[in-house]
Amino acid sequence: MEKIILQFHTLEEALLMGDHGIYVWSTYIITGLVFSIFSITFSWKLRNLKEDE
Amino acid sequence: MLLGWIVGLLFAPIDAVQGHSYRIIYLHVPMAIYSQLIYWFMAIWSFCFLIWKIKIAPSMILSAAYIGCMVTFLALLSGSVWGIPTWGTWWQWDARITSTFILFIMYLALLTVNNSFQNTNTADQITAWIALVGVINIPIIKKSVDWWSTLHQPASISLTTESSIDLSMLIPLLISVIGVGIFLFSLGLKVSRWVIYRRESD
Repeated sequence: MEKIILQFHTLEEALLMGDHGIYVWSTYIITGLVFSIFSITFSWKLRNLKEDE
Repeated sequence: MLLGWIVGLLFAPIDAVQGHSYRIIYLHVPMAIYSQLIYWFMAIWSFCFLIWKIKIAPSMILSAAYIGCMVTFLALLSGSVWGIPTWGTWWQWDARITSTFILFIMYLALLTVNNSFQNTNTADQITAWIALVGVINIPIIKKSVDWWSTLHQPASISLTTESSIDLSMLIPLLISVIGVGIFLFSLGLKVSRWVIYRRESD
């Protein structure tokens, strides 16, 4: 088993990840946005429904 | 979930073949696993509804469909983005990708059908049948990489055989899978509350 240690020495290295940073980070950011929008939408729908009652 | 992702993104060692792009695995694999597990959940509730007419079943099916649709979309999206640096293409009509795309269409069809009927009882019946028939696709997704020659690689982790990835990469992956599961469960509770409220107010 290899050691689980910090793989990047600078913020720039972590962001660029060689040439793959754009693919990796954009996937996680879009997923975070989708989760947030989904959660906010259903909270809002639930609150509206309760207020209507 | 965040712990698994942070460890996977910043602390797990680099892959010798794929470089850093493999780090999408910590998002893609949990989404792919839950896209199928949620469908099983829906199919079991559909069976219970069609046989025993359990009152809560249609709400459970509908709530799971909303979550499943989003999760399958994210599985396809993350797979497509991962495909660009790895395969040189974002889409290929191979068996795994096509069967997962069909799963996404099944979720969409289920939600569309359920919302297009005025009569709730008819909508619930048809939705349950669609969910039950569509479950045939799940073993096809699982076995597609073994039955056909596909661009998509075979499974890296398995419950029955030794995993083909190093433990240092596997640990954050397992943390991600558990974390995403807990997050989706909490999201599912919120959606099911809304579905139950809406059905009661109709």
